[in-house]
Amino acid sequence: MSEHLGYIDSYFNNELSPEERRIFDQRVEQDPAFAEEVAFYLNTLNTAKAELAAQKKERFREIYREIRPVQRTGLVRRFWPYVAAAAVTIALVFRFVIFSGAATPLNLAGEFIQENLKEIPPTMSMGDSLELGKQLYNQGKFTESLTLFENILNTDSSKTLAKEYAGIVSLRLEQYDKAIVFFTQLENTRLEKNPGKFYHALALMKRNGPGDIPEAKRLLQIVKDQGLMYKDIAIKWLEDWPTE
Amino acid sequence: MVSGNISPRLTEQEIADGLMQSGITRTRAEEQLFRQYDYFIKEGIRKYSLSEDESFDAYSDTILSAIQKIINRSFEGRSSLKTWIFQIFHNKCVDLLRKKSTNKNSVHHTLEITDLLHLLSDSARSVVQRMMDNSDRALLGQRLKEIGDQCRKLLLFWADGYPDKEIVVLMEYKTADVVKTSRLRCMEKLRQLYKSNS
Repeated sequence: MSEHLGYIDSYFNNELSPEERRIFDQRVEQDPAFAEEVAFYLNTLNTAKAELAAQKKERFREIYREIRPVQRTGLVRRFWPYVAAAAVTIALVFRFVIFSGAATPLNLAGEFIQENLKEIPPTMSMGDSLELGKQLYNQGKFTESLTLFENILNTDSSKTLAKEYAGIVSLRLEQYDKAIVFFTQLENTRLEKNPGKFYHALALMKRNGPGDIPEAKRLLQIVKDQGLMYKDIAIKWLEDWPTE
Repeated sequence: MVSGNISPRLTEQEIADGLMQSGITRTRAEEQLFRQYDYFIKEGIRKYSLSEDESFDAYSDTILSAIQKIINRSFEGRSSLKTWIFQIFHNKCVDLLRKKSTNKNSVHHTLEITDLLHLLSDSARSVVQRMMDNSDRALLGQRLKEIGDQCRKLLLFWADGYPDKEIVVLMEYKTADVVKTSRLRCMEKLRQLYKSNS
C-alpha cells in the first residue's frame, strides 16, 4: 500500500503540526509524483461524493413520484377542492369519534410504527445479507426478512444492525415477545446512540399485556433522563400518557 | 443539540438534529428535509418558468447542498431553515436560467469542489488543481463501481462525512483504526485499478 496515502489522510484530517503542514505543501510543489497522489486522494473524495449525490437524488426522485400532484383537468379540477375539503372533514370527525380523549399508548405506538418503521432505507451497498433483508422487509415479506436477520445473528450474534432490524420485523409481525428479546439485547449493546430502550418500550406498548404499560413508561422515562435515542418522542409521549 | 429522534412532523431543529446523527436516523432526516419543502418544486415551475424536471433537479441539488452545510455547521441559524433553503433554491434556479439563456452546456455541479483543496497553500493548491482537472473522473467513477461492495460502501460513508468511529458501528468493524486502515487500502486498490486501465 502507498505509504503516502496515510500521510495525505493525516494532512486533510488536520492531524499534522503547522511545521509538518508547511513541509507537506512544499513537497506538493516540488515532487510531481507526490502531488499526483494528493490529486488522486481528492479526486477519489469528489468522485465518491458525486456517486453519493446521484444515489440520494434517485431516492428523492422516488419520493417525489409518490407525492407529486397529479394534473387534473376539467370537471374534476373544478370540484377537487370541495371533495378534498369534505374528505378532510370526514377524517377529522372519524378521528374525533374513534379516538376522542387522550391518545392511548397503544395508539401512540401504532402511529409511530406506521409512520416511521414502514420502511428501512437501503444504504450504499447492494447484495449483502443485511441489505437483502431490508429489501424483503420493504417489499412486505416480513417472515423471509426475519429469517435472514436471524441467520445473520446465528453466524455472528454481535451484529447490532441485524438485532435492530430483527426486532423491528418481529414488531411488524406482532411477535412482541421476540421483538422484546431483540431490543433487550440491543439496549445492552454499547452504542453511541442506542434506540434499544425506546423500541423495547414500543413493543411493550403494542403487546399491552399485564404490567406492560407501566414498564413501558419506566423505560421511556429512562430514555428521557439519559438522553437516549428518540428522547424527544419519549418526552412528548410521557406528557400525553394517560393517568392511571 | 443532539437528540436522536425522528417524528412524523419535524421542527427545523429536529431535522437539523437528525442530520447530525448516523444510519437510519440521518437517512430519514434527509428524506424529511426533502419532503418538508417539496412545494418549492412547484414554485420553480411557476415563478422561474422551469420545466418540472429542471425544477426537481434544482430543488434536489438545493437539499443536497443544504444537508452538507448543516452537517459542516455552515448554517448558522441567522434565518429560518425555510428562508435559507429557499435562497439556495432561488440561486440554483437563476443559475439554471442563466445557463439556458446563454446556451452553455456545462455540467451542472451538484456539489461544490471539495473544501479540502483550500487547506493547501496557494501554490500547492494550483499544482494539485491542475492535476485533478487533467485526470479522467469518468473512469475513476467507473472504477469506484467496480472496486467491490465493501470498499465502495466504506468510501461512500467516508465521503458522506461519517467519522471513522461512526463507520465502526455502521459497518461493524472492530475499531476506528481498522476503519482507517481499511479505507486507505480501498483507496490504494482503487488507485491500482484506475492506473491499470487509464
